[in-house]
Amino acid sequence: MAGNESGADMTPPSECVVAEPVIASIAAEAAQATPGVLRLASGVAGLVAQLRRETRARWSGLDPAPGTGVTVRRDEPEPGDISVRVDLVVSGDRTAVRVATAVQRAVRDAVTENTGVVMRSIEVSIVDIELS
Amino acid sequence: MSRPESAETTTALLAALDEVAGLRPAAPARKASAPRWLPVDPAVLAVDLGEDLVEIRLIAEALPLPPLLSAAEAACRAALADTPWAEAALRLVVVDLDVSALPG
Repeated sequence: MAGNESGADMTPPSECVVAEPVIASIAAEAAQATPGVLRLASGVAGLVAQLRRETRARWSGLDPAPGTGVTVRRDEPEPGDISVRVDLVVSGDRTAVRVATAVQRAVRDAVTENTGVVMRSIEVSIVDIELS
Repeated sequence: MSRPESAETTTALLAALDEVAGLRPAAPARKASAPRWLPVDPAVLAVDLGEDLVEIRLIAEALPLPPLLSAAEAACRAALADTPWAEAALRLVVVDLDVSALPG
């Protein structure tokens, strides 16, 4: 996942790449902190991906930031085309559409600010609304 | 490019990255109980020296990444100067994020 690329006339090219798990973790943190979001929902594929990541992380002495509930996809062949999908459960106290819009903004701002990566799309899917 | 040159350059890159707080090589952790006979620092596994491309895989322990990556890029370029890889492309890949990087 290409983040940014630099290279002046006389200097060899350099490229910084931010991998999908990093973007997923930042997006998950931003979404979780949005008012009205109760939790992020993870499907079976998400749980498997997180388990795989945690296993790899244990090997490298890493305590990985959680990214469950967020799917990051790079659309080939354009490496800059990054799509993010967030699955979440929201509170019935707030308008779901407003919460979803706030999540989109929060994810966009957090990922761009923290990684320099600009996303092509951020899809928010509300899988459940809990009434208190 | 000889094997000693590769080893020296890898060591220089790892030393350069050591100066950049918030990023560390993505390699098996070396525990205090690691056997002393282990011939190499596992961190060398995070560095690939190709003919035209130097790739280094990193774990982020702080955010935001752009200033950290700029510092890492400058440090690595300085380490690569006067080596056979001085003109090689450099790719820094942040493969994962430590939970300590997040404010929550």
